[in-house]
Amino acid sequence: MEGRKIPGSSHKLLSRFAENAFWLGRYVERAENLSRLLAVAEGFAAGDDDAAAWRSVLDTFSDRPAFEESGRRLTGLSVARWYFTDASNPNSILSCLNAARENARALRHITPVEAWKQINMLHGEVAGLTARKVTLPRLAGLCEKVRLGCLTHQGMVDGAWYRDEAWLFHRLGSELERADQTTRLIDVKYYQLDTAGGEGDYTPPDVVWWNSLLRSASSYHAFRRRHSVSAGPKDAAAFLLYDSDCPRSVRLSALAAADRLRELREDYDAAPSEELTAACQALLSSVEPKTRVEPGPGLHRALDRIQVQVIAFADALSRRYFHVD
Amino acid sequence: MAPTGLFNSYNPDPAFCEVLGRASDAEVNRLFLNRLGGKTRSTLAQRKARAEEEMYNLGITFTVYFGEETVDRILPFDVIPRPITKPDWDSLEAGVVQRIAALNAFLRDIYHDRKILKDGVIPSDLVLKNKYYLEEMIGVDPPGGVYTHICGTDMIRDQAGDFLILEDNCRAPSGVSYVIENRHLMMRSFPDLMENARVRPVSDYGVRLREKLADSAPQGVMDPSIVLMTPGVYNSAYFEHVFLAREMGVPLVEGRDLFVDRNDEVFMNTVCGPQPVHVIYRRIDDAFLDPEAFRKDSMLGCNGLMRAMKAGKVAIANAPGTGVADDKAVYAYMPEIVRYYLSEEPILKNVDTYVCRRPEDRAYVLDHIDELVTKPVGESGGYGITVGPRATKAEREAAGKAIAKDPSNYIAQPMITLSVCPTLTSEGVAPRHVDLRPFAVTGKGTFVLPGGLTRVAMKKGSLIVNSSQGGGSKDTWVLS
Repeated sequence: MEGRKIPGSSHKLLSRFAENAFWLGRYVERAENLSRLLAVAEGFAAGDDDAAAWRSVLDTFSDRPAFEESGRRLTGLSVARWYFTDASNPNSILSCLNAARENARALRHITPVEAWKQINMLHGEVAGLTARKVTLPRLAGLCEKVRLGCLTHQGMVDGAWYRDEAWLFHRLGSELERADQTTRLIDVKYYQLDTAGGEGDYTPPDVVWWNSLLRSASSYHAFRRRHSVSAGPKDAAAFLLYDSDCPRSVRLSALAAADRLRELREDYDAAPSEELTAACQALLSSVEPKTRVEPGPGLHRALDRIQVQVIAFADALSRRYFHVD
Repeated sequence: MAPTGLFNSYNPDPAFCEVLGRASDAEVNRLFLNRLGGKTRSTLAQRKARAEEEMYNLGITFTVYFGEETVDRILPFDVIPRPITKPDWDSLEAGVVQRIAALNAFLRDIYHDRKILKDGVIPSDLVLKNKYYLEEMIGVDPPGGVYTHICGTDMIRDQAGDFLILEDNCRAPSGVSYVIENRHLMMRSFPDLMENARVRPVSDYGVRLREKLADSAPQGVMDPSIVLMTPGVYNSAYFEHVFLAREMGVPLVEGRDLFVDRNDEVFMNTVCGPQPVHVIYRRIDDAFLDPEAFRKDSMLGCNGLMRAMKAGKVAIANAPGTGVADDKAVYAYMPEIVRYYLSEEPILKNVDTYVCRRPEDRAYVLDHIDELVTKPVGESGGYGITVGPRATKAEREAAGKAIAKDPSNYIAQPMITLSVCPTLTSEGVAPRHVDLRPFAVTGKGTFVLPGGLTRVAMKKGSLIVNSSQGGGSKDTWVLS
């Protein structure tokens, strides 16, 4: 990997564009994760306690207070609409795609032409949905459209974007966001575990429940290949946290982000600051591989710590590259 | 040859038609009357719909504001191109090059020795009291003496088929992105029409622009760092700024990305720290360019740019203060200006213009107000214009009073029947009025892009081609 670039081939990207690229990556990744989660919640709620399943989505993003404040009744449909088409919810798919598009707009002279066209069309499709068009029977199809749209975007970034610093910051944004989103996904399931009846006394969640956890991260089949049929929730959590080959695991995302910093130093003459290097080290040390994970308050705290570390990483990145005094 | 097929019931009278008026040209005949004439209306309509959808998806749009709401609109695209024959283009091109040489010489003179004013060719106060005349530019020497690096000259064609200059846009003319995107659309939508067509390419505009801007870098800079400066993503022409930055391969900066240091050098903030900037193609008005020199409340500019320019550390394209040269009253003197600096007769004519500050012109205008179009000099976008033959008696009287009260503020021109071009309408192919804006870039020498923005008034009989008033655009084919 080392020395791939011709020395001095840095494009000396404007700081503002680095920030736009970073947030484009983050918002597209966030929209994708939201669509995954909504699809799973819908499938999961169908045969079970409806409200509890949808409440868990709100908990994943710590959005319960904001949702309650909006005065909506907690039903599957109202949560789904709030997360899909509600422009007043900053964490909705629509808001994420709005923000992604605005960042892409600023970057239009740098991104591949087809990438702008695609995000413009994906945004147009979601922005054109009225709340009435979002129904529970249609939700899975709508979520798939968004998920495929976001994956198409990532494919264009991989296949058509010139490997300049803007590309690198886009990857960094996607990778950090993915690390964060995956911890939230696990956290809501274990948060539920923790509150189900305390440590040592919980009822193991059924197979449907933890399968849905894996499915929401596109990792169910990979997990099956890696583990025997007797594998359970502890293995599932470990897989999503520490697996070194699962593209959505926290560990792989953090390793990829660390690689970007190395590239910035070696290939672009833009070494990270001490603060940033330290933030990256802290994140990496939290995702040292373990094979099994004990659910309980300890895991919840560990996930919380990773989320704080991701925030610190992003802050240090911003101070070093985006908003230099 | 008689028009066939598509042009069966097409009748452009009394205007000059861009196609039928040049039917004797072999290439016009082959491409338009034969090839295009053999297509059906529904084929054209289908391809138009696809082309417009493509424009929208690609975001080839301009932004329209309705209060808080912003809407992205496309410029309506007409699929029937507007041809310009080789002889027509050759003389037009020579005329544009001549005009720009005169404009640059004029701008240099009025910010230095003011010979033209001392010689009494133009009234001094018309220039020195003009709101676009910038004291800050007095004695400043832009590299190569170039003031208007990018110029978009508005032209019309009269009933005899002669091109006339209507306006010199010397500040920040826009629309060149449509020239190139319209061509891309035509190539995708009508490969069968364009096959073996001898149409001159427009796709190297970005390369030429970059080359001319590099020509204009401050002395001693070998490999100049060029940037395009935009007011930002909310500017209605942002698409064009993106387009030009991309075509040139240069950063698209905003004022907040730049700073000027104590040595008057300009830098941009990058992830690798501050990097030098030598040439700024700015798409931002003079007033907002530099809060230190002009409007203090500008949020879009960068402090110290004028200081850097005066110190010879940066070139700004177009130079500040070029607006004097495209003022409507100064326009009337352009034929004199060409003769004065170049000792040549103007190749391209002006539209006859009466300058109401001249007593004999004023008397004529007041006598013939029902035949003339009167315009205030300081306005743009069609404000304050009275079209004599179409105005009511009360409107004409009001215009006369306004001229009598403040004659210096008015000019008048005869009403010209703009040329027409066959255009796809709901009633089939019909004549619609068009104008033309060719683009020229100047550094060491002037390059005129063989093409131009053809704007078309989509409404029957309308002479107004502005996009804000329902105008569309066409691809412009310069034939060889």
